[in-house]
Amino acid sequence: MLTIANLTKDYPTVRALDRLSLEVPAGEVFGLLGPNGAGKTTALRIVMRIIAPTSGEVRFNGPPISRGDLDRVGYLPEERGLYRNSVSRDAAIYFAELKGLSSAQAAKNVDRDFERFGMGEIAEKKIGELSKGNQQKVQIVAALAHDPDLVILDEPFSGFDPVNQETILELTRELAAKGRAILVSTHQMELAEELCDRIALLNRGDVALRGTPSELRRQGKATRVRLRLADPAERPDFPDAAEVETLDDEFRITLKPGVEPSAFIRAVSATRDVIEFAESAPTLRRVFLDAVKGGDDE
Amino acid sequence: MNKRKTLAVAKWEFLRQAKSKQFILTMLVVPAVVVASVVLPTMFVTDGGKETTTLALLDETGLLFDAMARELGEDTPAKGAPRFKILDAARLPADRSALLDSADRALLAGRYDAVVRISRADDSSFACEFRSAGAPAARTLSRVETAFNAARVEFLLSRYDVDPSLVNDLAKRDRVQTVTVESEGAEEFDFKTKFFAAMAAHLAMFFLVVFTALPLARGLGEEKSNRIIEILFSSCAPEELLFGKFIGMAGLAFAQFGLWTALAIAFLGPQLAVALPLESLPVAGAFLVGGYLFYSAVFVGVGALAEDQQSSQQYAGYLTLALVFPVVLLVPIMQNPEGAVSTILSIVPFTAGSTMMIRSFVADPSIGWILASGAMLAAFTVGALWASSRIFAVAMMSAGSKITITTIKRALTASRSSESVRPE
Repeated sequence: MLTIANLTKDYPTVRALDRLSLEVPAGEVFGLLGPNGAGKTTALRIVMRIIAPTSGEVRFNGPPISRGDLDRVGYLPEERGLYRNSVSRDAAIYFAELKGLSSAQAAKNVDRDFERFGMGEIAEKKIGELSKGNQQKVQIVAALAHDPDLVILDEPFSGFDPVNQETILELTRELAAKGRAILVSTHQMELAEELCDRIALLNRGDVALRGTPSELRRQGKATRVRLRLADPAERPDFPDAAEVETLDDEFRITLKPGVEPSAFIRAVSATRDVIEFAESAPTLRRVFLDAVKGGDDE
Repeated sequence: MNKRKTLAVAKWEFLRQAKSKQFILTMLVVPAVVVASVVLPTMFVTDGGKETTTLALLDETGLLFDAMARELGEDTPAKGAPRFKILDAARLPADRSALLDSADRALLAGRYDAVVRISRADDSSFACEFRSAGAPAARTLSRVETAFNAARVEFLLSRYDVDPSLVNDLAKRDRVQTVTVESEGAEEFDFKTKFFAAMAAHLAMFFLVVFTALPLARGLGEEKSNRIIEILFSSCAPEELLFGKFIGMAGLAFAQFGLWTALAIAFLGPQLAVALPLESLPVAGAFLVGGYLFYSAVFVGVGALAEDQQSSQQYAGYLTLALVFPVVLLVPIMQNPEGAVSTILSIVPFTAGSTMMIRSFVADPSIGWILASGAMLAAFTVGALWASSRIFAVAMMSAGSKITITTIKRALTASRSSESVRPE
């Protein structure tokens, strides 16, 4: 559905994107993760033709994306804003009309989506009178009312409480199940891990890591291990440990950089009776930090 | 350009403004202001103040009392009693040397509205004092002054056995009638009507710009600062958005003007048709529309350039001052509509609309001038719209950062394919 090929964006003093390539097929939720300034929003804005790339291209169902194709794309920008003095329903209908829907169809779809989100009561209220959460919901309705094939969500969870975050998760999964392609940019690793089929970790305009969440976790360095000794009273020194935490008879150890878990357990087993040993699977957050900072802080 | 989207933007802009309290208020306030500004001065002119003013005339010379009393006594409104009640203070039962003190006390006690004291400096000159408890009423003072001078002249002429009525006849000024001769015939030139027509047309343009283009510029600032523009730009091209806004705003302005016109016809009816210089309306109307569209196009550019809502309003406010300028020049242009200054102002885009409107009311500018000025105005309007749309695409995506001359230059010179190059 969406193909980004060798996308580069140069500003006078900085390269915001460096030959970024990725694909988002129909029915998939693709997560774009990265620190501030990684180039996530720049990439999304180029896809939406808000800014032009220096080189590279964006393809939609094959050919380069055209302005007409954008009518099949739903976009929720990171910085959200709506007409505060306008009625919620009217504003959502306007944005749907701008995506090429007739007034009647736009009104029908907006009413459907207001109903779906349980927002019937606020439909005729002015946006400025709504809570921040409800304003965000209006914006999501405005982005999706035209039933887009590709949905681009830039930080969709920000500003939402856990209940509403769950609503967004469900909605996104529902859209993917219907065959929509979803491209999500977020900082929230846990939510990304839960939601995305595939993820690209972006750093300084380039993809640092990519894969499914489980593939990414496997790519991360297993720097933490759990260990139990036969003698629970024993408190040995672990020369290769950077940090040791003791919970009852279990040691939770963070290894020094460069120490492999296999080498560590061999060294310990040589002098002690080890009855249990396990590598802790790194979180996506750990993998992310390792990728962008060399893993020297958490 | 996608017409459907352009019209969707136009409809949204039109309805958003038309439903606003500001628009509804404007619909009522502007006619009220116009009516007040026409009716109130007339009321001041026709208002006689107190029905009768009591004047104590203290003629220490004994020479002018009768003539002044006659002059003032003749000042009688069409209906009602004489405006002045004259008392001869010199005949009051008081010591002559204490007359003035006595008259002043009576004045302070409220028995008189004013004391007029006439004295004699020498054989051929008189002095007149108007003594009142507070600030003198200008109208009464003027009438007293006229009566005093008439009485004085009458007395001096009588010394030479000259009949004052003869002098009055000699001094009378007859008005020169102005007639405009055209191939269709001749007609009287009514300066006053044309002046008010030109003023009304200019005010209409001013109000339309202030009440529609200014909110549009402010709205652009709002869209820029709260990032709605990002959603808009992801849905339609900058030129679709800009032209849509422009059409919506112009539609609103003309709807507003239409409603004001309907109100004027409803209240004034046939009087309006008689008062208006109808033959000038097509040309004046065309330049009203042209001038309005030019200013609106410039306002859109200003709105796009501003950093936020507040600064867009501020910049637009400065620009509005350019609209006030022709009001200052209204009378000079009317007095010399074909002069060099009028001609130059007719081809300066910021003043062309107003100047040509005024010229079309008081003179018949040649077809050549109408076409030249109209073409220039149209060219600058299209140019302003084009430049605005180029700047719009760049500037609207740069909330929070200053737009520099370099940015504008880049926006204007960038090729179409890189229309959305983002400024740093």
